[in-house]
Amino acid sequence: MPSASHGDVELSDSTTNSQSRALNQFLAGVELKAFKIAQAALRHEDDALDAVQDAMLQLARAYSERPAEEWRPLFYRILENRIRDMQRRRTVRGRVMSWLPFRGNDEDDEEQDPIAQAPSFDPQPPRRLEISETMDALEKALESLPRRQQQVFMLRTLEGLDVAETATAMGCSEGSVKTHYFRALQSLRAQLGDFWT
Amino acid sequence: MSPPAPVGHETPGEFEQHARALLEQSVQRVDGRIRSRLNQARHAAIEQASRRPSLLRRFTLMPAVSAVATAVLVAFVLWPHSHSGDPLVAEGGGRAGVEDLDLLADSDALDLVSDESTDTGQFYEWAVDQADSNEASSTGA
Repeated sequence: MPSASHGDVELSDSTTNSQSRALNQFLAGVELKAFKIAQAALRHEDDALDAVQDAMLQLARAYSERPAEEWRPLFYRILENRIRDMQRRRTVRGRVMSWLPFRGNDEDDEEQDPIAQAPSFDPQPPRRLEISETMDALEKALESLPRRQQQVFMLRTLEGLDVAETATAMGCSEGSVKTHYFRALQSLRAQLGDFWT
Repeated sequence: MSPPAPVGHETPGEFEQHARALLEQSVQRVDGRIRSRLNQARHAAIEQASRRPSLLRRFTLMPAVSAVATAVLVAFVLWPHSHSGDPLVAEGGGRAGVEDLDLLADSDALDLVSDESTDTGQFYEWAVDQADSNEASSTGA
């Protein structure tokens, strides 16, 4: 019946609009944190932006009709997959480049230099550390963590996911989440404890 | 099993709170270029999601799509039979049909059948005579 069909379309349009608003609100709420998480993992602004953008598009394309409460762990799961893909590509590219006899100064070389990436142990008294310096120290310490520990710490501490949501986002068991989180805390405390204000 | 925390170290809860506060501050310090690009990416994602037909709309369109698919399937199944098969049989059948039509349209034949004055016996006698005369002429008698 035309009237019923017309009503269905109107209902569908209103549902789509409210869904778009909800999705927009969700993405606006997570995009900055997602960027920081991706940046900590990839150590590159543009790569982090690309990863977040891909995760947004993939969530909108494949999961926008799922219940809104499922979006957060799904989004971070997608983001994690994108980050892992980029890291793999970077590793392969690094291996290929290492075999080339004449390679220019690649900025990735500087980024992957373990000495440059090591956390700073400059023994400044905690009282004299500015907030920005403390922040930098934390970010460098986070970058030095193994990937899974870094991921679980960021998801739990910055994003505030619980153990179950973190397990969904990481694609592992809740026991693994607890183990990685504990080790991350241990490592960060060992690196930052003496300089923590 | 957690090793004992050194003197002066905070408890894990305080450590986490402090780390969280610092990370949130670093989030707030993200510059305008990054925010702008994230904003663009978000709008692109929303636009893509809104272009995607909803589940309800897909169900609404399903009967029409099913009807079209059924029609195409029926046409596909029936179409080859109208042109396949033995062409000679098809041609002969067509020719027989045309001949039947010619017979039906032949008014003389109908007149012959329906003419009450015509004696069927006389016709057969005439036909036999014709056959005999033809045979005699061929043998030279």
